[in-house]
Amino acid sequence: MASSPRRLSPPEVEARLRARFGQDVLAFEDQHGHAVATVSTGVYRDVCRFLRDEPELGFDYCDFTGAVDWGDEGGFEVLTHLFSTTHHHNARVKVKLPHEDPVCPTVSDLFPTSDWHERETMEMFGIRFEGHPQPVKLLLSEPFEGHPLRKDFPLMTREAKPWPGAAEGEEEEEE
Amino acid sequence: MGLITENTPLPKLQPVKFILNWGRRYSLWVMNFGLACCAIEFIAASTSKNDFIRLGVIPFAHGPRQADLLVVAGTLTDKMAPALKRVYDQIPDPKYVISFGSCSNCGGPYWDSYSVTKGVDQILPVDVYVPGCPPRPEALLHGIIRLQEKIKDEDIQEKFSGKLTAPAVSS
Amino acid sequence: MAEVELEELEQTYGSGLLKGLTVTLKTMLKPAITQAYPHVKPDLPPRTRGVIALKQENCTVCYKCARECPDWCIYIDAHKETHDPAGGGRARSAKILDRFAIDYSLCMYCGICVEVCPFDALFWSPEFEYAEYDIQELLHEKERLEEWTYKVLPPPELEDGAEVPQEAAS
Repeated sequence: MASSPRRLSPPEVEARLRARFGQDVLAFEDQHGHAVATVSTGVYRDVCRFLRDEPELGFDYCDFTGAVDWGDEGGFEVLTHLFSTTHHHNARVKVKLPHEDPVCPTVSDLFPTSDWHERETMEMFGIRFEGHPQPVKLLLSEPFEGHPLRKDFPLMTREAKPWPGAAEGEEEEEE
Repeated sequence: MGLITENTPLPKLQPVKFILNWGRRYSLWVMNFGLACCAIEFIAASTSKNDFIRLGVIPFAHGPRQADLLVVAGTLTDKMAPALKRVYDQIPDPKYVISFGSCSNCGGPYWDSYSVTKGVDQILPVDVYVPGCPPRPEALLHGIIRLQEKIKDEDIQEKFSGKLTAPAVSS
Repeated sequence: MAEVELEELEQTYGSGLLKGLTVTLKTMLKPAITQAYPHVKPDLPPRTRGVIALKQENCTVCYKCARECPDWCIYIDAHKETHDPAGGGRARSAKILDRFAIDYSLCMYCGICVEVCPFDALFWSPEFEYAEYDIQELLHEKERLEEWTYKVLPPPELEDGAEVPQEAAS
């Protein structure tokens, strides 16, 4: 049963998360009134289910599931933004993954929205979501190879075309 | 038609060609392939302020099979390209293509993207290119008028001699 | 009961049709707002982004516009020439513009080149009628860009309360 709407502040969300998951909550931040928790990969699904099923937390709406490529030192970071339609508070759950063979459990059975978002993340970053019902390309065309949103993906057109802004030196041969 | 046009004593006077071209250019039915922001300008050109129905172009044909002009307005992505080719193949001959806006001319502001087809002329033969981002509705009217001028001088026999457009590959 | 229904039916029969026809009549008698385009050109303000014009004598070939263009659609070629001044002294060098082309098939009309030019060599003009049959024709070379300068409109009047520019005040 849903409790009466009460907006929780991020420290309150943190308290509940740490009470339940303890050491698996690796980091917690308050970003502009949103609770942002970085958790370990093993409890990612459990955290999302806990956030959804607890009546006082009630995060029933998944806004967005995406990823960030932090470059060489950072690795990938999969994040899910959740919102509660009864209590009107926001939360983000982040999971850090390495660059080599990034695997993350799926939350598409908990939040149907994440289905397509995870498909897009899979094709754009190359992150494998375990348990995803239909891991096929969503936005890129079928013969596309590579993962465009990775930091090391070159934009071929910018490499192929010479930059017209390059002043080619003092002694310029006439056309 | 050949008998009539080629054997008249006055080669400049080609009444059948004139009449057929006149009929064809003032009754273009347009299939709007609106993909992005340029589609809004296309729709604005169909509203009452700048009305392209005055030029004989009846908007929003029920489907490609009832159209003869295809206006590609907006960014063409690689994923959409086979669908566009299929729609183009479904339009019966004689057909014309207007490429509307920078994105369909050659990729436009998204020329460096990994998923954009740099120009619709990579998959279709284009008759008129209308520049702009987005072009004014009056620019579309100007493009249609230029297409009509092109059709006026067209020789349909020559255009299709031995060259039927290929049907879409069933995929 | 049946009689009342029949009466109501006769009263409302045709009234819907009449209402619709009056709307049609009203709309028909209103003046049309259509601007007959090829005969009536639209009245466009001077800052309309129709096409970019180049005034070659103002250009010092600093390459700023080509560098800042996000589409890489401005192509500039230039060389330096030195000449001795008439009154003696060391040789002066000047940059001569060989080629200045804007590719209007790529251009997205953002206006960054016009804004960033420090010498006011690029201007906006409201002309939009340059659709072509061949995409190569959409690459306007400097001769054609110079022609567009004849279509550039004078800048709009300053609004009330605007600061008068320093050059005019002095």
